[in-house]
Amino acid sequence: MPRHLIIGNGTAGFSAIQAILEYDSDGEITVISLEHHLPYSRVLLTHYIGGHVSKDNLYMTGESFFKQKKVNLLLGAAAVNIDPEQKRVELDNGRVLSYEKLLVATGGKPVIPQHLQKESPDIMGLRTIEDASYIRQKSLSGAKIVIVGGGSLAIELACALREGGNFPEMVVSSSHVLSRVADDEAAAVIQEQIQSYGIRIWTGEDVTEVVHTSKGVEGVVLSGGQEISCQVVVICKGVQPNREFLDRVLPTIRGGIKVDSNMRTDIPDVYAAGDVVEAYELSRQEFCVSAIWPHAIAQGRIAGMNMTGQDVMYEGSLSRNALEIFGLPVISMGITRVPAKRDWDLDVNQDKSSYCKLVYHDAKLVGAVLVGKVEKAGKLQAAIRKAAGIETVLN
Amino acid sequence: MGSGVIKKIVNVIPEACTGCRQCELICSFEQGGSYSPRLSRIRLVKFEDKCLSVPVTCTYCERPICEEVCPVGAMTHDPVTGAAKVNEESCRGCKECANACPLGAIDMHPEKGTAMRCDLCGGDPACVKYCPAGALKYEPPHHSVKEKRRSRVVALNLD
Amino acid sequence: MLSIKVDTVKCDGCSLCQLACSFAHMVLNTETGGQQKFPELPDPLLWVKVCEGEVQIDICRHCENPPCADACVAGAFKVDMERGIVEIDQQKCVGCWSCVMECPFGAIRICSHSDKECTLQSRAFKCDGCSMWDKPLCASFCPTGAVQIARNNNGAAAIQRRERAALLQKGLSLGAARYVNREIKHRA
Ligand SMILES: Cc1cc2nc3c(=O)[nH]c(=O)nc-3n(C[C@H](O)[C@H](O)[C@H](O)COP(=O)(O)OP(=O)(O)OC[C@H]3O[C@@H](n4cnc5c(N)ncnc54)[C@H](O)[C@@H]3O)c2cc1C
Repeated sequence: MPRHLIIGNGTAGFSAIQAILEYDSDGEITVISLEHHLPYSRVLLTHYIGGHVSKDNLYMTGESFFKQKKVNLLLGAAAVNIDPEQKRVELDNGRVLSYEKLLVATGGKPVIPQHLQKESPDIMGLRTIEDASYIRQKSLSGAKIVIVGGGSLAIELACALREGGNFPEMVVSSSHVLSRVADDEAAAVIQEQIQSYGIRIWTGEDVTEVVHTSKGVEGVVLSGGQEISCQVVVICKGVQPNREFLDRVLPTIRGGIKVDSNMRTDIPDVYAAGDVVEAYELSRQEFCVSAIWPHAIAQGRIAGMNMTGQDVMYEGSLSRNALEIFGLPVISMGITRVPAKRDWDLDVNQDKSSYCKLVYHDAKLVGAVLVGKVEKAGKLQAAIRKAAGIETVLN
Repeated sequence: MGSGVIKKIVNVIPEACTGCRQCELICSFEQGGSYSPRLSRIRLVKFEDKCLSVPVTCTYCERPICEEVCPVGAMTHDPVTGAAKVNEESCRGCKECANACPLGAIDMHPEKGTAMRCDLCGGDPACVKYCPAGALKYEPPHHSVKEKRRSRVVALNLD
Repeated sequence: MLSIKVDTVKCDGCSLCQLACSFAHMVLNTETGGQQKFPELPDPLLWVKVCEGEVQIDICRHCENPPCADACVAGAFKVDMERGIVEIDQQKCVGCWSCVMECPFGAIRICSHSDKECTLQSRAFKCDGCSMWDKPLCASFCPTGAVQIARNNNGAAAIQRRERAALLQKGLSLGAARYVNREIKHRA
């Protein structure tokens, strides 16, 4: 009977494997993964598209790691159901695996709005190596690419394509890019930087239709009526957790899988970590999905340690984001938009080359946006965490 | 942010210490599961030439500097009992606390790399229980001072 | 791992450490027999900033479980137990700023020279523990003892213990020992 079963071989899954090996070196570990790949860094995918990183360098480890540490690796197999009573997981190839402790680290998949879902390889999201290879190949062959969305992934992709010599266009539904993480002023600076490199941004527009003929995608129609001709549409509208196989056991959940501070789910002996979970967010003080790399690493490790019988707590996520736009660094963390209420306060410092906004609530630092000069970011993050931590101690 | 609620600490009477290292051993066993002074929260400093040994451990400052300097808030104490707690997951092993503690009462775990600080064994310190020489006392902080006053007065009277 | 003690109370803000750091990482061109013009100083790997009478020294503490390494998406960070340092492999770094965002000491920067030829453009850099010198030069050059570096982990704690125990031995009470100890430190 395998003792530890891990569904998902991504960032969180791999981090958990390392933690389990550290604390329970003779524990038996089995990992199943939908993708036919060793764990790789998704964040590097855009750098791969831009041509800065080779395909081989995307991987976090080699096959020898799994052989050496005697970790059973089942690639290309998907979990379709779990049976918490019998402690078993059913796979799509008919196999059934039993577990003592189970970790769900299945990550997420790109959200594709209903009206854009068409049977075409050229309407896609960006999540896997295959997606990235496809986009890279299209970009190199000079295809026109439209990016739908204005989040950090959309921007990173646009920058990468531009560095590879392609000029994509972006369609952003809000009034400016990065509407979720940056404030208007910072977004204006960022938008200018992107446009100065020849990338066209359509703000306040949605793609209402993809023009799709037998030859493939020919263009998109925007809500304002304009048509952009293009051959590929990449949709970067966020991710949704991969938790369909849990629908029978946890039918009521909406977003991600809710976990407690030990990364346990509501099902006994089942843990979850990474993009698939809803964990406690420190600045907003609520449970939410916070799909970034450092959280996947930390949550994976904590889940792994707790699976081996340790008792460690996750102190909570702090949503944050770092990206570089053609040499302009941007870091944002915590709460960046200030509600017009009394006990909220702002501190803005702006000069020619940089922008810095600090957000206070009840005289405590709860968020920051830095553009241009970002050296302070780490210290600010520590301050935000400390302020939040002290409060939870008092409560 | 002082511990405030701490009623008793481990008081050290260096004159009584025989240097047997029993406290280090039992502490490492209680806290770390093995007999290895490197895992101990109480450490002995020996002055061989003077035949003197001094056990050093956390004295529970009212304004714990270790908690102040920790950049990630990993050094905390229980709000109810006042007992020190190191959050091992957040502790990054930056050694700021070890460097800041004026007593040298904080060491880093040799394997985990996290900070180690005396937590008074949840109110029943093993080092005190096992000290064969009575050099460690679990008592209110001012007791040692009282003892000191007493011994001074006694010394005066004898003169 | 290196144990780095930064005491800004003692720091005068002279920035000698920063200069020493640059010098420590200077590669002298020996081919010209030292006859060349004074070479350009490389960027330092630690930063001193004086702001409204407060001094900040941003230097890597070589954490045992470094948050920068956890955040690195390219696997560029490595904890080198033998040399006792957290190391960065600049060939792997993609300049995503994640580590900058995580370091609570502000000790990582990203190279953004105006010089576009620079091969390390957009790569992160940080203190390398002066592994080519027998002692980290910042600490050696610090005139006030604001930066102290011990190559073994518990060096600092052990020294402090010994100092205090010596005071105890002189007959001072626990509290007094602590007070005197602090006093000595601040005066020194
Ligand atoms: C292009 C891109 C750029 C990004 N850039 C950044 C960035 O700059 N900064 C940042 O912090 N974060 C970034 N992220 C997010 C970051 O990569 C993720 O937060 C992180 O990888 C999540 O890890 P995970 O382990 O939760 O999920 P994943 O890494 O997605 O792993 C999930 C694994 O589970 C497998 N799986 C799914 N369903 C099943 C099933 N039913 N059965 C078996 N296996 C299954 C999948 O095949 C996959 O291997 C980026 C993501 C992408 C895609």
